[in-house]
Amino acid sequence: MNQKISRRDFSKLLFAGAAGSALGLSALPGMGRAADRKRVVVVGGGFGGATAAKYLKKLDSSISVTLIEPKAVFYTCPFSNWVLGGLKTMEDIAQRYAVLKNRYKIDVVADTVVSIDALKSVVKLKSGKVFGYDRLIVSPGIDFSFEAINGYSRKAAEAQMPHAYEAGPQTVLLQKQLHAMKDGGKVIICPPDNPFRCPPGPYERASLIAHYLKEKKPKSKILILDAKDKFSKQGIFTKGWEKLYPGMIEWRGASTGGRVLKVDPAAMTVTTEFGDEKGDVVNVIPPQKAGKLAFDAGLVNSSGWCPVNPVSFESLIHPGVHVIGDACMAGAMPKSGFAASSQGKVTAAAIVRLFNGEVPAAPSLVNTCYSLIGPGYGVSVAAVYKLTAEGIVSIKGAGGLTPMDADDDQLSQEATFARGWYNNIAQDIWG
Amino acid sequence: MYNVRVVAYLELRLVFIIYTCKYIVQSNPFVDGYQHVEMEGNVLGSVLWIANNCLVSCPVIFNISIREEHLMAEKMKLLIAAVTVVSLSVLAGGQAEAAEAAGVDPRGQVLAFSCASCHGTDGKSVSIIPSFYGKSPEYLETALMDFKSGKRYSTVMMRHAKGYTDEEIRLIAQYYGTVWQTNN
Repeated sequence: MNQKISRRDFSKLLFAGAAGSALGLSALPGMGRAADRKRVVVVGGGFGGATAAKYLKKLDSSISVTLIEPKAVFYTCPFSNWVLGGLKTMEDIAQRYAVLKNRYKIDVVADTVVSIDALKSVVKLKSGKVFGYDRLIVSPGIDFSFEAINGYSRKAAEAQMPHAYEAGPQTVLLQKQLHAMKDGGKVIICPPDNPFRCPPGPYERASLIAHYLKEKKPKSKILILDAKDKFSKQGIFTKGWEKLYPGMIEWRGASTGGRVLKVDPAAMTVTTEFGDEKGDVVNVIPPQKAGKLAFDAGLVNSSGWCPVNPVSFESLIHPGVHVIGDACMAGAMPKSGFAASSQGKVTAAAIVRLFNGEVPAAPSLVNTCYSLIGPGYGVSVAAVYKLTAEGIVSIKGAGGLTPMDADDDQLSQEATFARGWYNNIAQDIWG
Repeated sequence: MYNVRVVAYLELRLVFIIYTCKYIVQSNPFVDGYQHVEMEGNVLGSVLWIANNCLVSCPVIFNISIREEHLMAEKMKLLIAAVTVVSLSVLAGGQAEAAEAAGVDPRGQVLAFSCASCHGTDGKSVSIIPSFYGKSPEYLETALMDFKSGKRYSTVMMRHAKGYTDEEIRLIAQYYGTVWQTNN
């Protein structure tokens, strides 16, 4: 007897016996239509979505994969701080979809999803086009809770106080402001509380802005007003700042005057519990939530993020819809491009196995985040993750930070590997 | 068929199920439903039933079913479910063996995909990070074991290799040690 068929039969027996007709069995994605070409629609061409699309094709070229992404060019958040530091250009962090389209035969559609109907298994696009799917992968990234900071707004971000936490025009605006600032000016960076995208991001940013200022405007200062009392890689960042930029970067934790109560974009002031701070450049990184599409499609829970099954990243709310990347709740994994890509691979492999009527393999996930403190001074944090009854946890005894006592050679090697990592992950995803 | 691999799959199901039950308990609307499952006095059966559904499609159905009170009412149905799930697990083990016989171990593949994020797709690096495309399984296994033990120095590989069991390292080495042969 064919094992795949018997598996389906078992499932039918199960549903028929246990669930009755209350659940439309035919509506279940990934079941039935066995002979048809399977269709996967991927929404979002960033680290998560583009990886999932490519690896689906790599694993099974017979699957029809459609990637919906409105932007022709995706600017990566990783290395956008390097642009601010003058070490990379915007073109260096630009990724495109030609290889996915031509070599991997992915149908790349430049359009925006306006709605997802998880019951009918269709997505509707702005252009009016409708795509049906057997499985949908949503990788919507983040959205900002501008309203969480009194006085801040999308408009303020686009005019006076950029967040620059989505690479692109925001990065360019912040860079222009830094270039226009006088020597002796003050840059204020306001990182949000956890959880947020790229936990070391604001501190790498402070480092590389300091690098730029040290070279061009050495009398300037950087003030970090943090919504937290500790931050990612804090020890090694602090050590690096003392070594490379002594006296230039001041960090205030939440309970020591760092918590931002409100901002006044017109006056360029930030109000904390300890008083007002005026900046020449003010970078406000607001609290975050899952991308708008995840909210519109009802994929989020009360936390503002998307709960998922950690084996296949299938939504715990809508069957047949997988949510990966920053928007999903992936246990101990941080919200990073690397993590999103790792999730994209696990999801692609799980979907292929589900299509074949097989149980997905136990997931194995990884994250490595390089941060540059100076051009030849790199640090990293790594972790390997596995699934336990507590969800996705990092494996004890593995991973960890660049050691505090790392010598100059190791720090310089890590800076070199950071550059190598960017080229390779970009190739692994879009190349 | 009753081998280590089957046990591994069952283990994965059980781990995931406990996770799912916890999720359901944490989600207020479903708390009553979860208690109901316990009251059935067939926790194992329920757990296995969920295990199957979570992996095949979704705990959502489980959630909806509880909400609709259409499910978990009769012990008989649970029994059918439990038997079904156990059968499916054995089946899955058999399929894993079949897949391995065909050359690619699904677990090895998932483990190995992680490496490509720094070393390039299939281990073909386009940067200063070492390429390992074309290396033998023996070479790769030795390298990874040496990183794990600390015998071989690396800035980051020493940290990564400690995250894998010797068996997982063997699977990763096997995957990359043969993927280039498949490509050619």
